[in-house]
Amino acid sequence: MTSTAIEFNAVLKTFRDGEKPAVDRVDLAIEAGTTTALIGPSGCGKTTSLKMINRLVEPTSGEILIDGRAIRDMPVLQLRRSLGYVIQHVGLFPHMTIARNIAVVPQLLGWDRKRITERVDALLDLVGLDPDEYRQRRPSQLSGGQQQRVGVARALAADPPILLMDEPFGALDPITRANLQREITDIQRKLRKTIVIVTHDMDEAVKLADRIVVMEHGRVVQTAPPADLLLRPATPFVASLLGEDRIIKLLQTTPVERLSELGAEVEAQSPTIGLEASMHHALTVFLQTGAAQLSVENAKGVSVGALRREVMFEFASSEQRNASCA
Amino acid sequence: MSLLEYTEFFGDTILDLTIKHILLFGVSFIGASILGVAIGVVSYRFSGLRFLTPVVNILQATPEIVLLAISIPFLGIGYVGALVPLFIKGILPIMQNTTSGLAGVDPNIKEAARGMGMSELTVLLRVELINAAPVILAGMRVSAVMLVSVITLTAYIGVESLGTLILQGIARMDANPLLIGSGLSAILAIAVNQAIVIVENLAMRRVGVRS
Ligand SMILES: Nc1ncnc2c1ncn2[C@@H]1O[C@H](COP(=O)(O)OP(=O)(O)OP(=O)(O)O)[C@@H](O)[C@H]1O
Ligand SMILES: [Mg+2]
Repeated sequence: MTSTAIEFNAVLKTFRDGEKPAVDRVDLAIEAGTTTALIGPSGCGKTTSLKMINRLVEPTSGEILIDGRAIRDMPVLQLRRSLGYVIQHVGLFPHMTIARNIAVVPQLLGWDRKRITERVDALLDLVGLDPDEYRQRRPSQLSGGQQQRVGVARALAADPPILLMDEPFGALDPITRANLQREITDIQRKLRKTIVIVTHDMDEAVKLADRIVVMEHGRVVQTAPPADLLLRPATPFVASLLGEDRIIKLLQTTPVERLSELGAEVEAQSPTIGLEASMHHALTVFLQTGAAQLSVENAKGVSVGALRREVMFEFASSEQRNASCA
Repeated sequence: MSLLEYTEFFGDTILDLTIKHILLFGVSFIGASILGVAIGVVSYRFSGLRFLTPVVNILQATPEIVLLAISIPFLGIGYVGALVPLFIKGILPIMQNTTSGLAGVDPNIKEAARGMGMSELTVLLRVELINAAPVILAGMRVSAVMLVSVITLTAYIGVESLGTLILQGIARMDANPLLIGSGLSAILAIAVNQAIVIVENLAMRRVGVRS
């Protein structure tokens, strides 16, 4: 069962009269419990779109609905407390300890002290920081990656159903970034939030999102699940965002299950691959072993079918054709 | 009379004048701090008040003694005539530092505060003022040191303070009261400066700025 959590109806934002709109008549429906990535070049209106959801920016025209209700009619402070918000540059309060930073929204909501303390510890655990070690520290005593984790914990504090994240892993090294992305995926698996994440990293969008919204000059140029986007970029601009290695990204998002022939005979001593693994992983195994086919195994290690190299090549080259005629 | 004899002989008067000096300072400093921070906050929130900046700058540049002289025809001689101009001078650095301190607070934490659903007043009290505190305190220090020394000038318009001793010294060509009056006010100024430096350092530590 799906329902629309956030809806944009012809939302337009012009900061100054006569200027080009920063966000230009955007229509968007975001399903509850899914992760949506807003992606596009700098200045295309991603942050502005996000900030209109928590009314840090008010639209010039059009309306935004949350669970079917126009947010314009909601009390603004109550609305903001009900949305988790991770801002573009972390923005932890330097004068508060980590615990108090995380406790801000629960405190505004009037939770009692015991409940807040328990919640803070649970969240520090969730984002992989030892509560005993970090609770009483100041933001300045944390590394950039640790601060971003606290930023995420702070946004999750009052267990909001919707999480708005503006480049939450912005200035991080690739390794820390990948770790945090994995943690977000884990958290999402556990908590099933509606997440809107702004990024300009296509790999991140492909990894995290159920749907990707590509923006250019304030407009939405394409909305699609990662695989569809990789298969059928709507414009040359989208294709250029996807990059030269679009095929590789596509393999990354395609599970082995999709291309394998279940129940098919497998040659003895074929290398094995998990059903759940990505085709990118399968490609690696093909290249490393030189095998023509792989034995596909389920989670219990029982062989359930075969994956042939030709099938993968056909898949990849047909996608390539799709892309060039798009 | 030696300095020691003078001190012994006029000890009570010196103590009395010192207390009066400290009281004058306390009243004008507290008043200037409250008003300075309040006006600073208002001019930060309402950028429409920027047109006042040149007025503030002219007042800032006017010597205290000139302000005192100008105030006499309007406010008369005595406490009011003495305190009002001091007040005005004392307010300016606090006000300016409050406005620029608030403006200098990291915009990301202001946005985080609003985005998480703090009311404007909570943002101001719990986030902005605290993080601007080191800058505001620096303004208070400038104001305090200035007030301690210019309070001596009020003796000219009939308000008793350590300035009274200085004035006596000048009038009677007597080095003793001159030395005691100026020495004590210098010591007060240094003490006040050091006290506020300590508070400033605490505030900086609090908001994670290294001094
Ligand atoms: N407060 C503001 N006042 C005036 N113009 C603004 C304001 N905020 C954003 N803009 C303009 O609106 C446009 C979109 O900005 P926005 O911050 O939404 O971009 P973005 O897609 O988030 O970019 P980035 O990837 O660099 O963060 C830009 O042209 C920007 O200059
Ligand atoms: Mg942005």
